Amino acid sequence: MAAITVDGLSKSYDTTPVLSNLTFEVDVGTVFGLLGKNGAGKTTTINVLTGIVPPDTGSAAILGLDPSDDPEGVRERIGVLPEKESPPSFLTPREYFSFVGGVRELDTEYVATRVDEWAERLDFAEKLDTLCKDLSRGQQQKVMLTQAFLHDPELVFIDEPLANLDPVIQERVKELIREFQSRGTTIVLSTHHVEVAQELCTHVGILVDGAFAVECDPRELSDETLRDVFLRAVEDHSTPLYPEP
Amino acid sequence: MTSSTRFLTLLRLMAVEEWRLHSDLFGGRRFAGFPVVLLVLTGCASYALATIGVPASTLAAGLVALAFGFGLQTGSIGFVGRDSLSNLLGDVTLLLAATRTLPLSARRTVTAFILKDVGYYAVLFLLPMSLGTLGGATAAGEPALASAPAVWGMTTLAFSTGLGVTLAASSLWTGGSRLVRLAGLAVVLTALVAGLTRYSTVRPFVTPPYSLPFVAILTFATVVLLLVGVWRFEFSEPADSRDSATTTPHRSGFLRLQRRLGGGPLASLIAKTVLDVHRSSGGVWKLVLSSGVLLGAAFVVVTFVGTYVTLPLVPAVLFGAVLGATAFPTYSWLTQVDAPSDYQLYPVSTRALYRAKAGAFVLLETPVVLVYYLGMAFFTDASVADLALGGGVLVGAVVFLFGVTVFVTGFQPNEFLFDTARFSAYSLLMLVGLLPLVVAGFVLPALPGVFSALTLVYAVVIGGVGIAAFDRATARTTA
Repeated sequence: MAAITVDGLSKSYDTTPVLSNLTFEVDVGTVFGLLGKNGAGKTTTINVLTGIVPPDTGSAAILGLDPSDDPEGVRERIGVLPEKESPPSFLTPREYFSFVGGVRELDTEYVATRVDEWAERLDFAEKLDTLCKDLSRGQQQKVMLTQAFLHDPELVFIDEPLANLDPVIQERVKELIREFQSRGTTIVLSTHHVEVAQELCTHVGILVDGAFAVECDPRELSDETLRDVFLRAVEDHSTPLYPEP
Repeated sequence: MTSSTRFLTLLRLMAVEEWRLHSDLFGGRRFAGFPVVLLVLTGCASYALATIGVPASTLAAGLVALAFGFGLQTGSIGFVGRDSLSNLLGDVTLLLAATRTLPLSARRTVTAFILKDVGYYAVLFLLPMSLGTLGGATAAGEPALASAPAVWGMTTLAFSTGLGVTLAASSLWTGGSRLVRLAGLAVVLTALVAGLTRYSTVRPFVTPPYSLPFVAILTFATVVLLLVGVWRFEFSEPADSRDSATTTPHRSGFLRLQRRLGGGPLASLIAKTVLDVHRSSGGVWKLVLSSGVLLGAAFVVVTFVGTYVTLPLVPAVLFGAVLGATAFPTYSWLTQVDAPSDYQLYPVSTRALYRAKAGAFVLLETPVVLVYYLGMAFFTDASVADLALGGGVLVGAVVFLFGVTVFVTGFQPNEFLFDTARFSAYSLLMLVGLLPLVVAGFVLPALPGVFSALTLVYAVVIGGVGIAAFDRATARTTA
């Protein structure tokens, strides 16, 4: 059963095409890796699938909902960790989670329990009452990760989830991703860390020129690493900096 | 490259950056047309006032007072500077932030930023307003254009003084023993005003030709104020350097407010907006200050006009109408810290965001206007009937201006008012909505009692227009 169905999606900004006839499916309970060079269209793909920007052509269904028609309905059922977003400067993490719980209409006790669990596992319990603007980038990333999973969503989009985290916490986040996957949560992971994708993903798509140049299950690679596959896919399409005479 | 060349390069690049920031937002032509609109608006206002007998020298003095108030408002950059300018501009990064990554002195960079701001406002705002004011008077029969250079110079100086006052005050506000330092600033300002009034012919503002000692004292004071402001200007430090146990814990302010507002999505959004204002630098006092500056400027204008209108005033009605204008600065503070894109992670519609801003506006604007209105009631001998009428006018004017501000500017009231087309539309709507109420404040005593009732009806009608404009703005974003 597909959690995400994308059919012929295209998107341009002004005259620059970013996505070009992108078509793929993500099955329920899988970790799908979205790979590509800078500017390949990873963030645009997530933005279209979460209803932030509409596609020019094509269609998408997220848990059966069209993100262009019902963006709030989609966001109600999914979690999102954007690459650049920070928690609100003038709220503490605890207050921010109450805010997220409020807009998601979650039970107060449920939120408090989940926050304690996550703060314990990601090691930011002592920062729960500090204004977010006074947290380090790493602590802010932990807060943003927590908000994405707070409501136990069916599907989560996470963009560079390990950014700014120390190696210990990186391992814990990987464990959490595996845990959620084993419970049936679908996860879309956008990252530049090919090794992380190889470690966590059950399926990856490598975006080149707005469409997948390669789709594969990294666990089935035997003769080469995902990094080799990635480099070959993007180099096939790149212009050399110093062309041979 | 010498340090002075480096400073001049920085200044030039900041000017280019400012131009690109606004021309990128609104288009170069629309931004360039902004001074022309100001010229026309001030020219018309000046012509109207000159025809009822206000001399050009008084109009010029009023303009200097307005420039001072405008400078006070602009100096609030000192407050936002502490919370990082990126809060104001979303993802936009200014050259001002380059002090974190390049070998540039923070004080020199802020000095360049302030000089650039003064230059920008002097050319784009004060020059057309000076020409408009004196041109309007000339058109009404009093040749005054010859003093335009002097008036422009004085408005620029007054603007810089106002900017220096707020910048120095906000800089002195940081750190310990702030009351002692602010008391010191108050003493200096009192001495300054006393010194200036000795050389002024019309207190507290002078008319051209300006005496040399007056200009010298004001220039000296301005330089001192700006130096104090720059000396203690605080940038937001990078988060990593502040991630320590020394940060103050904030406990459950949000939860209490969220609960009191009834919980749920709307209450959560309102509570967040209120705390954004309360916890950002300057706290809720910045609302009081912004509204106070606006009222002060309006008071100066009304006082000048009142000198030439011999009828007794109705202060409650006049004040109620003028207080309506405070809806703009309050709304602009409510939208300073966030943008709709910040909420795209959650199942929140833009309509819900607007409703939350309206809820936060009611919570924060009500005490501000109430304090000023009750202050007016205390210092004047207004009757209960006048106060009730003025109260009705106040509510109507505030609701009208809030709705119109949301309708015209969306979530970017500060940025979009530099858009010539929107600024013109906004000025026109404000004029049509509030001017009849201001006029009523001047002429009601001379009219039969039924006009008081009509004034109240008009206030209710424009309040309705404000609600309709707000509804239209939210519907437009969800369409």
